[in-house]
Amino acid sequence: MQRTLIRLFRILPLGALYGCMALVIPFYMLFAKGFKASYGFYRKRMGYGPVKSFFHVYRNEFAFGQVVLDRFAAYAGKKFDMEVPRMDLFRELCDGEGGFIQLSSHVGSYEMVGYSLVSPKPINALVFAGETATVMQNRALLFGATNVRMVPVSEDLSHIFALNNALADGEIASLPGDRVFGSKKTVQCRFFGEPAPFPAGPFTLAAQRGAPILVVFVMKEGRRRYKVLLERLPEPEGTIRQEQVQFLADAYASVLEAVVRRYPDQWYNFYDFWE
Amino acid sequence: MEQLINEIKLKLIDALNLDGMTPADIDDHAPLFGDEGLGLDSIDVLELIVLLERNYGIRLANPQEGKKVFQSVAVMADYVAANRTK
Repeated sequence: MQRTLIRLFRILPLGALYGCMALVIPFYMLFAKGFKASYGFYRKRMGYGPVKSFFHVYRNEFAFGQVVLDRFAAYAGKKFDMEVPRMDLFRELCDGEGGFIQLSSHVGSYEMVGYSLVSPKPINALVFAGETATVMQNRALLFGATNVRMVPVSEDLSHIFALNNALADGEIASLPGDRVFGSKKTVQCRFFGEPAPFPAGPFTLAAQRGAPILVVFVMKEGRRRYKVLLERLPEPEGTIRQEQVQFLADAYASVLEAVVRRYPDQWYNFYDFWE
Repeated sequence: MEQLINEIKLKLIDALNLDGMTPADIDDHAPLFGDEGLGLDSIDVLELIVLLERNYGIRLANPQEGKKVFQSVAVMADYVAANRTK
């Protein structure tokens, strides 16, 4: 199925695929589970009126669809322009001795990152277990090279060892900062004016290992254009672990909020994030 | 060994932020994970891995070793005594 799709993407122009999607989305909006959460986000968090919110739900679904189509198009070999204004932040960390954490978010299209951030250090990317082998392989391709290892979250906690080893050996650990999976532990951070639960895992890992965090957003800027926004979080303040973890999570939440405010249609957490 | 067990308990309390607990509250043989005992989760495992590395120069590289070592404080102490490099 996925292979057929990729073949299709080689033949059809991207614009035609976007067009088909634009027609399908209204039906999707009617039945999708995420509608309420998405609408609520624009109403309550962004403060838009009802009509504007509805319009943004459409744009949000459309943008998400584009990201998925672009991903397949990229697997199929189509090229996108990738701009990285702060490449120096990435270079600096790559040139350093130690490992670092690359923090992804459900915003924009993180998987396109492989086209622009090519590192000599191996990348160990934490992923949900149970994704199909093809998705995994394609992802590895997208991440750009042979030095990407997928680390599935596992019952036996092998992912914990893998991430720890990665940082201890001076490699890159890539994990999402805005989704609680694996450990259920969370940190409450102010996000759009109200406390929201963020996963404790990534920030604990950073604090424990003293690893720097590079926050990465890959934002869609045009039909064939992406911009990679990089931000390095400050060193954690505080003497006890909990304070350090809170500090890092707060710093991330505020960076995330700024990006979501700038690109409100590219926020892809289709559930009530604050619950 | 008593002394090492006590030392590990103190480090556990500190690292895992087990507020208000004293070494006497932790049973030497109680399981560290699961519903009984301390009921630690995956983030705590990370904390324990780093604790062994930083304090005793022991690097656990895989979950099989972790499972063996993190059974209880007493098992951890035995392992530390046998494998410590500092």
